[in-house]
Amino acid sequence: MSNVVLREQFSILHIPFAFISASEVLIIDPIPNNVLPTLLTSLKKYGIELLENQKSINLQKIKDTIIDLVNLEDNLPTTKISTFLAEKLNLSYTSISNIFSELTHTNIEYFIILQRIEKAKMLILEDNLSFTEIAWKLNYSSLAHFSGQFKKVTGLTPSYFKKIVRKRKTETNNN
Amino acid sequence: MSKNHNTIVLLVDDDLDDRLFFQESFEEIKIDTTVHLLKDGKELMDHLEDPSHKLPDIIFLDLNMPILSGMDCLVKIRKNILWKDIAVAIYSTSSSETDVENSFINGANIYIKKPNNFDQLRKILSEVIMINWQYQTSGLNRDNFILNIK
Amino acid sequence: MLKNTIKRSSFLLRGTFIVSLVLLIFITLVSFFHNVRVKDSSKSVMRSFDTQIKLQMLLTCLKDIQNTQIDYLLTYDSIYIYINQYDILKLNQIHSDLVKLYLKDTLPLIKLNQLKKKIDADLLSIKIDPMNKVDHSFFINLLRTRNEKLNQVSLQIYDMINLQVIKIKQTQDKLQTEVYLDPFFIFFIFLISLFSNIFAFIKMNGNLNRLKIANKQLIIDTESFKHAEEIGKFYHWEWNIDQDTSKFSENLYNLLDFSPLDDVITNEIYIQFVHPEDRNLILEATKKAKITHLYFLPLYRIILKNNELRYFMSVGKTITDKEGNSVMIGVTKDITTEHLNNQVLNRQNRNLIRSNKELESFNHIASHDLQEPLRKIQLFISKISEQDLNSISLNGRETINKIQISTDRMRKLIDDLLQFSQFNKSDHLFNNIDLNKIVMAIKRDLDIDDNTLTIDFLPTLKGIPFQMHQLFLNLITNAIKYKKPNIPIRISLKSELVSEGSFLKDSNDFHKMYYHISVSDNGIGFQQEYAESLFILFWRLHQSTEFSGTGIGLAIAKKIVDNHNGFIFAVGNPNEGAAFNIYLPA
Repeated sequence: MSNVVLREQFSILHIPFAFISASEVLIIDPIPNNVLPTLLTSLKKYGIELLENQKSINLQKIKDTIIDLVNLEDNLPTTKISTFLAEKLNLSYTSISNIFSELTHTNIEYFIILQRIEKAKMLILEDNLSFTEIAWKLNYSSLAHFSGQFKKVTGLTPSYFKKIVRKRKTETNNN
Repeated sequence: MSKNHNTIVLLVDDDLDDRLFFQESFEEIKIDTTVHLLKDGKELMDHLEDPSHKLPDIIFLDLNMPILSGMDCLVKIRKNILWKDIAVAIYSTSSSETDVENSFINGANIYIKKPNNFDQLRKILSEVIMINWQYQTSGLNRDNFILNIK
Repeated sequence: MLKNTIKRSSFLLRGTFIVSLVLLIFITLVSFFHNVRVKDSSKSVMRSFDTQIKLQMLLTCLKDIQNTQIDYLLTYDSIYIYINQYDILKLNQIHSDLVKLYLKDTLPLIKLNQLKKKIDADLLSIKIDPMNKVDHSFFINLLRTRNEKLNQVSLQIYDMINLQVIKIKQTQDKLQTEVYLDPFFIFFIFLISLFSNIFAFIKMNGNLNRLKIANKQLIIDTESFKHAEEIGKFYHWEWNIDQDTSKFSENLYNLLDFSPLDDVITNEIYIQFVHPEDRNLILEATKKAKITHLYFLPLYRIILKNNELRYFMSVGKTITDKEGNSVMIGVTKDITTEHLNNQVLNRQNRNLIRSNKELESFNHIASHDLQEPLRKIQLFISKISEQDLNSISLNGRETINKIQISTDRMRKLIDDLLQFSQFNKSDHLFNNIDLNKIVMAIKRDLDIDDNTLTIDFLPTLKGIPFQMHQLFLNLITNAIKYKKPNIPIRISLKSELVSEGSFLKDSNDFHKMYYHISVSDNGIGFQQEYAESLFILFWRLHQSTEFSGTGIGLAIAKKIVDNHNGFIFAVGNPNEGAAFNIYLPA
């Protein structure tokens, strides 16, 4: 999806480019100064940001990896994530943690939990699965465990969350 | 992430002490923030509608305000598509279930019961800013951003 | 019952009358004819006797004549000639009498005439010639033939006399046989009459008695009814719709303070008593009644002669008899006292409701508004940094600490008061709640295991879910809080169905059922004398230092139970544990 956007934007602004991998694109010629802000603004509209340094790049990679992991069908516990990350990014877990904390002011564990809860929210709103099934799908040991963590992170129970979003939708429909 | 990312925070509260508390809490938060203090709904609307102002990332609204209550402000904000990306936190002394539920239903992302301890206040605000930042940077769905802090 | 008695009575009456009449006629006829027959027999016998006598007289007369002739012949006294002639006249007279007597019997009459001829020929033909003196031989011959002839005639006459005797005998015999049955017949008739009379008498007397009793009862009932009307302050009326005439019972006069001597109350006069503004109500009700056959006027005003105001109510319905005539019967009642009482009650009610609402909102607002400044105080205190504290004297630091503790406590009290004010009955729907589920949820939330909390089956009942949840939460957390140190707390929940009379001192109702739910524990218990104080708002059994809390848990529990029209009692034994008995309507 972002590829299409990038292609489009680059074409409009006549910026020559080439894709190195699924998520990396090489810009062939340096971008003129007057064009860059426009490019950045347009891309920002699509949620695409320009990362300016290696650390940021790494951070983004960490995040992407975690997000991908969470979105996979079977979720791996944190300890395995750490080894997985270390391997994938060719860095020690400690340096990964440090980068993460420094730049996001929170730790990987929390980030992972956050991602999982976000996924849970999406599943809840899709309304195809029961809460128990969702808990299982996200690799929680029990519905109680899942509800507990959900409540801890959001301050709401999963059912309350569902109720609120539903009511919100009717409210916006009425307006 | 670039260091010049700065979270713009707006607080709307008619109580002077509360505004000062709020501001002081932010002085010690690690994330870069700019805080604007407003004292009523009208000032809020004027601020938002002023094209020279950058749109805030997050607005904290007190519920109990004269003339235009926090709930009314919330509804107004959510009616405007231009402001849909702004996170809204209701910041109130009330802990009634009705108020909480109505706030979320009317589009608030966060509900905070005003703590009575300064340290707690700092902690809460820090957490809120941090989470909000996650939503802004990690592609999380803003529509599902619902957080209740009691 | 009375109807049947009356029917039977009238039937009996008619029956008896007809039977008696028939018997009477029958007897009369029989007597009459009997009488006629006896008379006839008598006459016949009398006639026979007469005939007999006349015949005897005839014979005697003949003998007399003979004797007179002999006497003449013996004496040639002319006097005998006269006597003879006189006797012959007599004989003819007797003969004509006999002819009269024999008038009806033709055969004997012929015989009689023949006899007369013979007499005339044989006995009277011999003339006595005064000039002619007869001699003895002639005389004796004469005597001799004459005797013979006389004998013959006598025989005939005796025959005729016999005939009469026989006839008399026959008639008498006939009469005898006829008369023979008469006594039996009369006796038989007498018996029938007697029995039917007695029967009719008994029956009719019985009916009469029953009627008497019924009448007595009727009098009592009427009096009772009149009395009822006076006490109940109502009167009854009849309204003939077609003719538009009405009748009222006497109590109307009492209700209107009207002397019966004054005037007869008619519809027109009654309307005059009705408050002018309410008169059209009566007209409308009347109109409706003609169509729906129901009269209903729940409230209208009456103004008495002394200008006092009264409130009346009228209700009526139509009844139709067998011939299709309908009349409306109804009752009008003086409801002045009830109406005024109602008004007072309504007013009081409204006041109470308003007071209650004010109280509820006061509770809420007070605790809410009090929170604000308190919160600020706590915030300011918490803002005093470590450095600031270090630069204050020890005394100062302690003071600040104490302030903090007090404000914390105040905050807790206000929170609890606010919470307490939220447990109101109004505007909450009663749903069916399974208490087992509620307690299980609490068990989960508080992470209690099955050893600590045992649940016997709890009922499902109607209530406000979140309040029920709070009730059991409070009781269970209390039990956990007040456990004996070092001894694991055991809480047991049980339930049973009981009647109101079995647990409530002032109640005799053994039909109204309640669920008795008991929450008992093995904690530190309490002295039974404090059993009622426990439920008082903010009342604490223990010092603040021993156990935390504001003393609101049980007050809330009681309020919730009250909201559900139930009861809660505490039973305690120091150092043995406590039990809370909740009774909720089933």
